[in-house]
This record gives sequence, structure tokens and C-alpha cells, in this order.
Amino acid sequence: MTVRTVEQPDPVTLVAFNRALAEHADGLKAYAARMLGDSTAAEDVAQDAFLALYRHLHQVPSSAFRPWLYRVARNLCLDQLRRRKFKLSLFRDLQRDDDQSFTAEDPTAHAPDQLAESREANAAIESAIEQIPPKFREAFLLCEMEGLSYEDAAAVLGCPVKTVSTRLFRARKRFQSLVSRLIKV
Amino acid sequence: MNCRTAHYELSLNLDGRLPSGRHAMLMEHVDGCGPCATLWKELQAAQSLALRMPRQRVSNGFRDQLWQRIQSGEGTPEAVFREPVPLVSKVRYVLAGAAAAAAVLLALDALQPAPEKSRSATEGVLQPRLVARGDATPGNTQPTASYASLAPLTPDLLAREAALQFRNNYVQASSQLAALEGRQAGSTAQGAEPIVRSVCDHAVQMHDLGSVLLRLREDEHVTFSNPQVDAELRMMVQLLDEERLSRGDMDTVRTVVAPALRRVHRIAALPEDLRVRGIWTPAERQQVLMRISIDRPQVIGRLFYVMPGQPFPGKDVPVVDPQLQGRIFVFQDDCGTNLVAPRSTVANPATLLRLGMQPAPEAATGTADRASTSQPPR
Repeated sequence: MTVRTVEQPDPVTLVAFNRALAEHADGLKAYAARMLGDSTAAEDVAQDAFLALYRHLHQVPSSAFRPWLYRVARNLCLDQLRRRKFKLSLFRDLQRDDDQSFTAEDPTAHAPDQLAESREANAAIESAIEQIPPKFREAFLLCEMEGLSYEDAAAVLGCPVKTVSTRLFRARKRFQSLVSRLIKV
Repeated sequence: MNCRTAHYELSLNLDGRLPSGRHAMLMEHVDGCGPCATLWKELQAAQSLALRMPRQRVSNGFRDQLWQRIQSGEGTPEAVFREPVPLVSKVRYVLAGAAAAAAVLLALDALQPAPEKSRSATEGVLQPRLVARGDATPGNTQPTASYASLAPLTPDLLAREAALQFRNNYVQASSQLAALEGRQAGSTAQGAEPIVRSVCDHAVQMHDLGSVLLRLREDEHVTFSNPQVDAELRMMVQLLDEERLSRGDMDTVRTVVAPALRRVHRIAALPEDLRVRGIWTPAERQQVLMRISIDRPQVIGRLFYVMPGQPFPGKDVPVVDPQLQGRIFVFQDDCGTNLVAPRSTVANPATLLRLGMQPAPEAATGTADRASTSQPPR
């Protein structure tokens, strides 16, 4: 990591950066948390990604902020996973992350039995996402969970748009079969 | 429409990515097909389950901490640009490395003066076949190489050459721009016209070569190890737009070329940062090269000395200069078989004249001398 002098971007770019910070920070953290299975590390990844964006503001057009941030976050996550010598196992420690759990309660569920049910359902969904093969899961996390377009997801994953749509389709089918018991059609 | 197609399109339909006609066809199929109708409902339900999941939020201090880090001047973490290398690519690199090592060993072996009797044992197998041409007199034999033994031109080779030539043009344009600015500062703008033209020529070539590299990158045939190089290349291609350069005068240099050159810092490392694919099937190779030669026909000529058509009906190519061995490649296009030699590898273009290749005018190209001596500006 290097230390450099602070350069102020122009006001228009700064506004775009602040908007990106407001709009994408949560999503970026959620994405990183699912990649790493660790919400504290995920917040660091999100912050590192924004720091990198700030340092490269003059090179990245504001329309490309989102895919750029996700790509950087993905690189950081994969680097962490590699360093930890983890396999890409998502949500490993998720159940222990009680500070801000993914499996938070359904706000509409108030009764204890409803809360328990909601928590159980969310855990089952997280577990289902975890069981999607990694290659397909990445497309699922980006497109389905974070709402990126196929084009942006392709830029993040470094693959053609067609590949993204195929991977997403397979991920959805797998996810649908895994959560079928929760689905009331 | 069969169910298999319908299943895939149902996923696209969830994201609203089907054209209206296709959407209508899909819905018509779903209405008449029980299993597809069930899957459609289940996919919708599964999607709403996924979207119902609670969102993680960054902590309250996230923004403040980020601004503190920014203000402290902390740089970008190195891992930001550390792209994962897939296992398949690693295997490819190993294979390509082994192949390159074998090629070097064979080339070294071929350069050793071999006894006459041992030559026949190796000729035509692993190196260009060396034979005496029919019209040669004893003592005046001219070595030749069969077409079959010449390596085909590959997109990798083209990309590498494009990166080298791009850098040559960048170096030339930068130094000429500096000279131009020196003249202006000293009020000796007289005679600047040829330099202005040359700077614009280099800019046009950077645009062409950069466009080819970006296209190869978009199609995932090449990558750049440093994203900054990638970004700078994109920016240069965008700024050095053909239309904006069309006037080719001092104003163009001042308002288009100079700002573009001043905004880049890493572009000189383009050849080193280029990562090529390494392995091609003949069909892929041909498809990519043909597309480049059709989209940007001028580029092939800028990168290679070209001998068009199959000039030697006897199917053997005279290799007049031993140094050209291994530097001539075969390229098939609509006109037939061409021989090409990368400009950066040919030290003495005059030898190519005897092959019938046309060295292009110096001003428009980067030759081996420039390629080997020019260094990125510091």
C-alpha cells in the first residue's frame, strides 16, 4: 500500500462519487459479505473499493462506477480468500455474525414463533445461495441480489454477456430447486 | 418453441430482457405447457424470496472513516488490481512456456553448423525445410523454406506487434511534441509544419492500433495486467478520434494530441502489460485475423511487411537472410496466401526487398531500429 498526496477531483466528479457512496456502499458490503462470509471484512472491502475509486476518479467515467466498484470488490475478496487459503465457501461464519446478521428478522413478523420462522426461512435461503456452484453463484449475487445489469455483471466477471445470462439461468434453476419447500405456488 | 429454450428464456423474461414478440411466444408456450407454467411460477416465487432477504448496511462510521483514509493520502490497496488467474490459464501459461523453451532450444540447435550428413535427418521436420533451388548453381545455392513449414500468423503475434508499434508511435509523438513546444517557447515556429504532420500521423496510428487492441481485449483474446494501462488506452483511443485528427494542423496538436498524451502515465508499459491467450484453433485464429483485416485493413500493413499472394509457385520461399528465419509467417486472406514479417523483428528491411515484400515508408511506420532503441519517456 502506498501513501500519496491528496488530489482534489473536480466538483462534478466529487458529486458523482458521493452519490455512488450513498447508492452502492450497502450493496457492495452485502456482496462482499456473501463472498467472504464475514461482515467485518466485507465492510473493509467496501471501503477499500471506494478508496480505490477515489484514487482513480480521473480514469473511471461516472457511468462505470458501479461495475468498477464491484470488480474491485471481487478482486479484493478473491485475494482475501486466497490468502486465507479458503475455498470459496460463502457464509461460513454468517451464523456467528450477530452484529448485523443477514438472517435478520422479517420486520413484519412480531410474534416469537413468527420471528423464529422468519429467521429459519432466511437461513434456509442463505444456505441455498451457498449451495449454488461458485461460478453460477457470482452471476446470481451480482444480477439477482445486487440488481446489476447483465452488461455490468459481465464487466465485473470479465466474461461475455451471454455467459452471464446462462450462468444466471443455471443459478436460478438451482436456487429454485433448493428453496422449493419454501415456495408456495 | 421447445421447453429447453423456454426455460432459458423464462430467466431472461424475469429480467425483462425479451423483445415483445419473443415474450408473446414464450407466454403462449407457457400457457399451453404445464411443466413450463409451473417452472415460471416457481422462478418468480424464488426471485421474490431472494429479493425479500434483509439488506446489509454499512456501519455509521463508514463514510467518516473513508474520508479520513482519503485525506490521509492512503493509496490504493495492491490487491485491487490483482486479477485472479484461472487454473486453465495457468496450465496454458505453463504449456506455452514449455513450447517456447522447446522452440528456443530447437532454434539454437538449428543455428549450430551441422555436418552435411546430419542435416538431411532433421530437415523438413522441425524447422523450415532448407533445399537448393533448381536454378541455383553449385556454390550459389539459396536456402528456401516450404510454406508448410512456416508458422501461421496468430492474433497473439499481431497483438504484441500492435502494442510495440503503439509504444513506438507514442514515444515518437511525445518527443516530437516536446520539440514542438521547445520551438514555440523559443519563438522559432518556422519549419514546424513537418513535425506537426508527423505528430498527427503518429496519433492516427495510435488510434488505429489502440482500437485493434481494445477490440481484441473486448473479445477476451488479450488482457492487460494493469487496469490503468487498459483505462489509458481506452482514453487515448477515444480522444485521438480520427475525425478530430482530420485537420492535422497545429490546432489539432494543441487541442487534441497534446492533452491526450499528457493524461497518460503508464501507457508506455503497454507491451509489457499485454497478456495474450497463447493457444488458438486454426478456425479461431483465422476468424479473428480476417475480422481485423476487414475492419481495419490498413493495420496489417502497418504492423507487418507483407508479400501478398503466393509468389513462389514452386511452394518454396527463399530465405535470403538467415536472420529472417522464424520471422516470416503465413497469413491467409481473401487474396490467398501472404507472407508477413513483423516490422519490429526485421533489423534490415532491405533484405525483404529480395523476397518481394514492400517495406513501407519510414515516416509511417515503426521499424526494428526504433522498436529496439526507443524507450518510454521518463
